[in-house]
Amino acid sequence: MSPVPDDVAAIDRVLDGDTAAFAAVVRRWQGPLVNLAYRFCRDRGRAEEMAQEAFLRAFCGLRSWRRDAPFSTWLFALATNVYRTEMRRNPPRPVLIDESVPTAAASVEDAASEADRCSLVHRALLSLPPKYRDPLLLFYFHDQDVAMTARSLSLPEGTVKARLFRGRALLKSKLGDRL
Amino acid sequence: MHDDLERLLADERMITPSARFLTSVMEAVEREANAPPALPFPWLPALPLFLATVTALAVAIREGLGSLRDPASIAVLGEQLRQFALLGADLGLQWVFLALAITAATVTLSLNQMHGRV
Repeated sequence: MSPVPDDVAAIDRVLDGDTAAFAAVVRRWQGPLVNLAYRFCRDRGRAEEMAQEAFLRAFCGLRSWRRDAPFSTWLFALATNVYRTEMRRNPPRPVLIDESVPTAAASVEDAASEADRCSLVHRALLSLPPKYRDPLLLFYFHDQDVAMTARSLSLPEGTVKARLFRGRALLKSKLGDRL
Repeated sequence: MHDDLERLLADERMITPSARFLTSVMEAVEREANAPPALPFPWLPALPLFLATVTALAVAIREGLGSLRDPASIAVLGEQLRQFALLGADLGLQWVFLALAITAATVTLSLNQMHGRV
């Protein structure tokens, strides 16, 4: 996800009035932005709509990118902002953890498969308060990079670390013995 | 459990954007680029009104501060406030304010619970 000279060249062309040059930016960043949106909503169609909105905002605000920071940092912070606003406006449907997967104490046949467990953890993550949900989502999205997570959320690193700690504790208490 | 949770959190399947995604974004971008620019705020026509408002506000503040230095004016102001309080009590305004405060507290509490802040 490091910036490449192609980004800068394409952005310069867009700023010079070549709208079509923005396609290079979309092509390069569509995967990360759609995947980040998917982690917020767990819905493929909605993730694409949210990512499209993020690209549109990026296009409109391209001049506000100060080149002292990498383009990716600016883009992820903007996208995170768009996704958080969207999640506030239309929160995901709450899931009852108790009903979704049998407990670990159940028989081997009933035990949750790896995919079920993964799905359960991510749904539990989405049910956390946004204050803890967002740092956890971004931390694992950014390959456990606290600095990048902090920049995406415009928060100090210390605050992010504290929220990660508290978020994990909340997640564990939510999941109980279901892992 | 801690390591298991860490592993499951980090183990996220990646999705691939649909084939139409790029086209869809570029169509939206083209629409945005070709949209007529937003009308600028008419600063020049609004300037006289803006200056008049600032002047009126400055005069009102100066007059208000001037009257506060005069003991007779303060007495008159106090009397007016007392009459206003009596009128409010006659009309039962305290109950209206109490009802408004309870409504505001209820709405705030509900919104906080909805957003999981409580």
